[in-house]
Amino acid sequence: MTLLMLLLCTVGQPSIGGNDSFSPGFRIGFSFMTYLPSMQNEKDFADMNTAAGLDFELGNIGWGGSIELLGDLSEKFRIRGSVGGSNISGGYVEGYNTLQNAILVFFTLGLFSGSSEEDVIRLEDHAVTIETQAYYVLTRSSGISISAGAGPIYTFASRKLNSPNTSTSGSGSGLGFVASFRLDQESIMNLGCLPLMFGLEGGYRMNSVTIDDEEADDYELDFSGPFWKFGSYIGL
Amino acid sequence: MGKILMFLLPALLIISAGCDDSTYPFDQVTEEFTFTYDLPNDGIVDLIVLNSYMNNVRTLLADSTQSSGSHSSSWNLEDENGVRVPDGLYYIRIILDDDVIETKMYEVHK
Repeated sequence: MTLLMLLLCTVGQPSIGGNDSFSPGFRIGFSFMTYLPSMQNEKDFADMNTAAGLDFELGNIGWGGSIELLGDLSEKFRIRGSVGGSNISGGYVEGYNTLQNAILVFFTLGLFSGSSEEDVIRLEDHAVTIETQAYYVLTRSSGISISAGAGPIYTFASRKLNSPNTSTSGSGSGLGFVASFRLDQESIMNLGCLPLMFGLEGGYRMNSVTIDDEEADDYELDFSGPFWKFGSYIGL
Repeated sequence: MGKILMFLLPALLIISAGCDDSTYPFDQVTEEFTFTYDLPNDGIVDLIVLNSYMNNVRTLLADSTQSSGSHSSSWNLEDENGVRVPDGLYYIRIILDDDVIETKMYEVHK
């Protein structure tokens, strides 16, 4: 893999002759995303567990990835469609047998070690999102473009809570809204035969989902919050 | 003898390290149970049961005047409609004069 990357980097070079004239095109790629979801209900749930005597840790940062298709409609307008998944999790982990493990590792010179942690309570919130967004290109040069855009986002979400003897799960879906700024590379890097481009995106999305299950009684998973994306794309 | 111990001790440790000897900080219940709680002062007491979505599934005690000290109550694992609740995590909140003074957690399963 490393050799492949080295080969790609060696072969990789910017395309000769920057072109200032606009030519419509599409690019497809994968982007990695981190975000700070509101998740107020889950935070309250974590607090309730803490009040009950558990050291319940809930992740503040969500992460995910998406497959994206970007297209230039004109010199000033760009569209994006993507399907992605994201995740936020937390739980209560219990450590045990610490001394026993230390002795075991010592006597076996590190060959064996027992598990020192156990997931007692595990909370997993997953979201699959379908996004479409239209952008207005604020500035474009031969190297980069900056654009601002907005659009709808549809979220399918699920919540799963596992304990030693039980598992509770629920799911739902909902429509939201996303607005962001994009910084896109416009000059193509030729990696071997692949015309490669990179893009950055930052913005805010509002997408909360109500869990449909009767037991949940309109429990809301609020994935809303600021996000950042980094994507690599192949020009088509 | 020493050599035997040198082999035996790690073997025993390997076996026992995989055993779960932890005790969870919550009770696992399968049927009606009784719990106790302490009130720091006299006041109006509410006891409510919440599910893992923080919804009130049962009110065990409402607006009851109680004196300070130790008290007990029980829950038969049924909701307000008299139906046994689904397996899962449940929380009993002890509320004194509109303040939550204690939260107890239970894993309800068959």
